[in-house]
Amino acid sequence: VLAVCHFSTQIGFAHKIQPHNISALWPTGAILFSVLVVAPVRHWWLYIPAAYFTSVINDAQAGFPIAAIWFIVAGLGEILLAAVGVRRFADGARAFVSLRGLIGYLGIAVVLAPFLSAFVGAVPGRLESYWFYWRAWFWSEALAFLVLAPAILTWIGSVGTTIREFTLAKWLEAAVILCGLIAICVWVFASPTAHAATIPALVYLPLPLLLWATMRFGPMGVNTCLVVLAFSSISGTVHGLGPFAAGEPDKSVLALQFFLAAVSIPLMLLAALIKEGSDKSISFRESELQLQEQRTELTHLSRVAVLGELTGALAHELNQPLTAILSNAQAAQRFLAHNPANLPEVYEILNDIVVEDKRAGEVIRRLRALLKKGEIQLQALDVNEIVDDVFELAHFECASRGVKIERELEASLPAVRGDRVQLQQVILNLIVNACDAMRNCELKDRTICLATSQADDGMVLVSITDCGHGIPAELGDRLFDPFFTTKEQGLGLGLTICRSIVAAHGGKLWAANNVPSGATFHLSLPAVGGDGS
Amino acid sequence: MNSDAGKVYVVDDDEGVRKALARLLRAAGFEVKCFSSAAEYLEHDDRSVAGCLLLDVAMPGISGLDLQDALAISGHERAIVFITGHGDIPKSVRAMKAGAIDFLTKPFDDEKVLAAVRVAIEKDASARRLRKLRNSAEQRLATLTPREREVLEHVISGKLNKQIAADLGTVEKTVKVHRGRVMSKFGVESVAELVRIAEQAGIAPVGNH
Repeated sequence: VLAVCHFSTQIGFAHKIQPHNISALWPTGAILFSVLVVAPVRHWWLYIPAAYFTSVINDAQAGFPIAAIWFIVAGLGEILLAAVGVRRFADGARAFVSLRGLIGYLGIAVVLAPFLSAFVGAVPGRLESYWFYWRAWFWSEALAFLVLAPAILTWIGSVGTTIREFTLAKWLEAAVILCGLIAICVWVFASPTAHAATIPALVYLPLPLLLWATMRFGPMGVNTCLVVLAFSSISGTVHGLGPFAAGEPDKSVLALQFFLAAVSIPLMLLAALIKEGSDKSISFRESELQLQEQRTELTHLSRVAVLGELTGALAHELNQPLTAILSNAQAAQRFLAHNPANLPEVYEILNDIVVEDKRAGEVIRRLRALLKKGEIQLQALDVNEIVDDVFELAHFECASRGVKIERELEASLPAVRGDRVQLQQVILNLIVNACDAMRNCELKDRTICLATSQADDGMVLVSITDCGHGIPAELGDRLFDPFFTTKEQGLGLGLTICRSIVAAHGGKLWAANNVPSGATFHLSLPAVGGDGS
Repeated sequence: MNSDAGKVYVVDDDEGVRKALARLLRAAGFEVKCFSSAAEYLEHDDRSVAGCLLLDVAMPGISGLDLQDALAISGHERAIVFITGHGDIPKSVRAMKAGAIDFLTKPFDDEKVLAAVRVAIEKDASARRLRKLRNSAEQRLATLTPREREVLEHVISGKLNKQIAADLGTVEKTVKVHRGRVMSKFGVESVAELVRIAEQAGIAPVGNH
């Protein structure tokens, strides 16, 4: 900080505009201010003397003029006011990425702090030229806070984050903008004083590049470019070059300062707006993504819950082939021990063992497919195949509850587009519900019918019909509400999730009562290549 | 080797299991008949054929336990060995209380199921023997006259002819004739044999009051 401030003070002195010894932009204050905004408050005592070291040495060489003390008091007061204000009311170093932060920054650091400190800083100018010095102080400090401090702050904020994400193309683009801007600035501000008529055109030349930087690089880009513009224009004017060197020195400095302020403020506002917009859309996308993840998680949990109700049945599903395999194998041992060994029988047994083993493997495969926490995979599916798979999973659970389950599948249905596991989950859930609905029915009445068909409008229909007590009329569509349940241990999410799955497939899920008893849950899905696709 | 003793009726809705069990039992020398449901078994149940049931608990329609109840109500019990996919304690207690021989959880070892089947067939055979004896005793009982039956009841309670005559208000000689007829109708030589058969036929001796 000491080195930087020493250097900047030297630059500041070198760029004073004679004869009034005023500066268009006083950099040291802005640098110290930037440091104070980002540094912890407990380190401030270290930075402040470091920043003023060079000024104090210079003043000491000049024998401590009274003016120097006024300058130091005014400068320090202004920096502290700006730093504290910006930290508190304008998000500190993040002031440039939102409109609110930027306006706070402009109000506090660019207008209020220089405005107040100018009253003190202009005191050495005495009465006759008090307002002249007040104006000079105000403008040079305001410009420093407007141009230099934002660049420093955005760079500090971006090192390590934004910059690390730059691709080679982005670096090249930045280099093109910067080189272009420097070239234009040198040409405009370091060429001999132009004719008065061409001045406006010349002054606007850097604007396209500034806009480019604003659109593509946001606050960091525009702040950096503004520094380049400010220093080249001030430097040129100080050396009597460029469009602003035409008139009297103090008038031309004022014009230059107006010019810089008029260019900087709109561009900075534009950059903040763009940044704010893109941040919002990013956070919107993120929350959308999060919602999607939660939905997937919930769907999976509900699937696990449905399968949990089937665990007994699934253990049985595995037990059956295992029992058959064991008994077959032990029968084979006996047939081989016979004299003579019954080889044809053993051969048949081995065939059956193969079949039963594959059957057990199939149970595991179906189970694993349903328990998998996978991404949604949309593909063309045969609804009958899905119903068959679920039937295989559920038929024993039904049998153990004394429920007969039948299938009435229409041959040659068009395919539907969807996720196999999720559609299986829906049908499985509806079957489990149907079993629950028939808990209190006579044994002979407990039947579930799974049917598939095609509706007139081309939708593929799946219906699950039970012979239970039906849906009480007063419940109506509340069945599908979240956390609505009639089961003692139900969570009330099964049907809600079923409906959301079906809706995500572009289909519909609804329930209706039958005459004389029972209810049917209908599931319609758009056919691939049909009206719904 | 066991085929004379009785058939094994396998009732299971799962074809693979049914086939494998039938093979195992046949390999062990049993005669086997398979049914895919309780209803099918009830339809083809031949009471005259000796044998036991190897019965799955959970089946669609009539479950194994329901079949056990149905057989008990119809008075035609068979010794039952239950097999089940998951060892449900309340169900196994119910089955055992109702007289099941065993309650095996799938998958089971061949020795276990064969041992249970042997016990069941043995139990079925002895039940049949008992039933046969009772039937013949009852048939003989039916040939007695009311008077002869009265005399029988007194004889098996260990009374002397003189006491019986006093109780029935007749003479000792008449009692002696009735007693001789009862003995010949039952085909026995001694009172001890008479007592045993009367017991099988369910005839109670008169009390000594």
